[in-house]
Amino acid sequence: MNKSPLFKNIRSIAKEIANKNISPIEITKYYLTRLNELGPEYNSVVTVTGELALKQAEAAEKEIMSGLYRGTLHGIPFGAKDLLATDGGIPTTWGAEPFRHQTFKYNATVIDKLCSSGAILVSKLAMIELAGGMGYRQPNASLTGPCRSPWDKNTWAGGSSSGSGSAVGTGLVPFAIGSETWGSILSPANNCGVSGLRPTFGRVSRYGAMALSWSLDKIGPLCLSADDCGIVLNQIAGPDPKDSSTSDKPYEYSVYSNQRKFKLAVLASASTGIDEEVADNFKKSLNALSQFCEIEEINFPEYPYEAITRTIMLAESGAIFEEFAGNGTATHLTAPEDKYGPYARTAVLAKDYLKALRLRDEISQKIDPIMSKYDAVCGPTRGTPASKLEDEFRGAIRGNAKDTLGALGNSVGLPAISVPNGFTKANLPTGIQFIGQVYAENAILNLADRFQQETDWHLKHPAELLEEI
Amino acid sequence: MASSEVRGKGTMTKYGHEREKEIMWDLVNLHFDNLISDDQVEKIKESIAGILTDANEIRTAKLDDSFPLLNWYQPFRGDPNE
Repeated sequence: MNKSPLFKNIRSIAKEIANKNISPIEITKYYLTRLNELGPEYNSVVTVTGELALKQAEAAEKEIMSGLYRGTLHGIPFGAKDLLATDGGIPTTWGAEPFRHQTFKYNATVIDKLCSSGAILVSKLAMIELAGGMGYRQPNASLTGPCRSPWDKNTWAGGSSSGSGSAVGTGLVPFAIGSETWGSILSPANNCGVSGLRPTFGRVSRYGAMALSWSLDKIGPLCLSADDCGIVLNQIAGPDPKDSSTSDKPYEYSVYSNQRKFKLAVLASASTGIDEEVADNFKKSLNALSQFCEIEEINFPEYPYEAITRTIMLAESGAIFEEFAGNGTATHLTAPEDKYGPYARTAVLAKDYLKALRLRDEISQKIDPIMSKYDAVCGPTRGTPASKLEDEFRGAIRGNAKDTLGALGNSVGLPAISVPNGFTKANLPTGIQFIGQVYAENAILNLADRFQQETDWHLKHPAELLEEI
Repeated sequence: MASSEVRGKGTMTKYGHEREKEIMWDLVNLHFDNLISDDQVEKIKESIAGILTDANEIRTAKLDDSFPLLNWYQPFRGDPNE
């Protein structure tokens, strides 16, 4: 191999592949070695799909050598959160001990779409059991153990797409796929110092993905840069007859001119109740953003955003996991609180769930004209950096701060991207999130990309991980 | 027992809220009695209290009458012809 692909963005690796400077087989073997060596240290890997990956790499190499180059993702390895179904006898564990040996006879649409572009599936990645829907309150809530942040092995990678964030941040894969119901892409992006995109609800097919909450679940990429997220979204977006919630609105990732000015809003309460260092980094980010953004402070209409989102999630997951809860399988989960988590949600009344849905519909219509005035609304991704592995938290959304942006964005299905924006004194990464109008992923991707052109937080990697294996 | 006096929304008393928690616990316990261990009882009651706190926030939120009702059911018919 002429050049190491380690911590290189997708465009750079793709250029080397297209120019035949790097062979898809070599690059696949390179990442398989890292996955096997470092994956267990970080608890970020469930299954290394070596046999399939080498077969796909051989096919990619043959095609590229014969002049058939499929595009930017051709020959590029990736990992997938282990809630995405894969055929060929590869287990899909949903991160949960009771499903350790579960297999499917089909691929999730997102897997098929990536593989048809020539991308190479090298690993199924760790996750919080059942995508965190049972109410976990600690990092040790997965059949693979607590997933570790690349920046400090004693801290948590975030969840529930823990392995997807950690594997990208430790250089085990160039990109990964995760999913978010409420915080599950943005939280690992924050804790692992990577870029994570939550697309608009319905933008990416969920066929073959474990359902936690039908009207909240979204699938999206975790990558080394915002531009990488756009490249991956370009491949996985689009309607799917197998998932009736997908939108037929077309999507094509496009890169804006560098001369473009952006209009950005900051939620007035964005820094209320958050850690001082996180607030400090956010303030510095606003200074950097002011070079190319017009910034205004805004308030959203008063609604019980968190109560609405939680009620919808609990009611829908209660229905989805009805049989699971009733047959006692939950007792085999890892986290003690997950063992009884499915039971209490029986107390969600239908009328409260339906009113939450009606309020959501109203919010969606009231928020749209506000969002349409800006390219994005921004705030700190999380109020705190990664917690210690042994720390318990009140809920998956930790700290004293209200998660208005997370609750609002996830309930009405707004797209959001989190990118690194600094470090704490303990050298833990922090993140900034940009939330956009529905179906306006290009605006937030380009804004985040421009931020990454002005800053270098996304180019920093833990020193011990820069050594080649 | 329901009172003959007509009461408006949001009139549940503190006692009413406590009773609702107890009733919900009875409901959860009815469904999952054989699966719940003694050490889980208080924790499940805490979760129920959280659910009801959310429910009360939702119940007291005012819906804007100018917005249409949530109304998306469409009857299914396999044969599209009359």
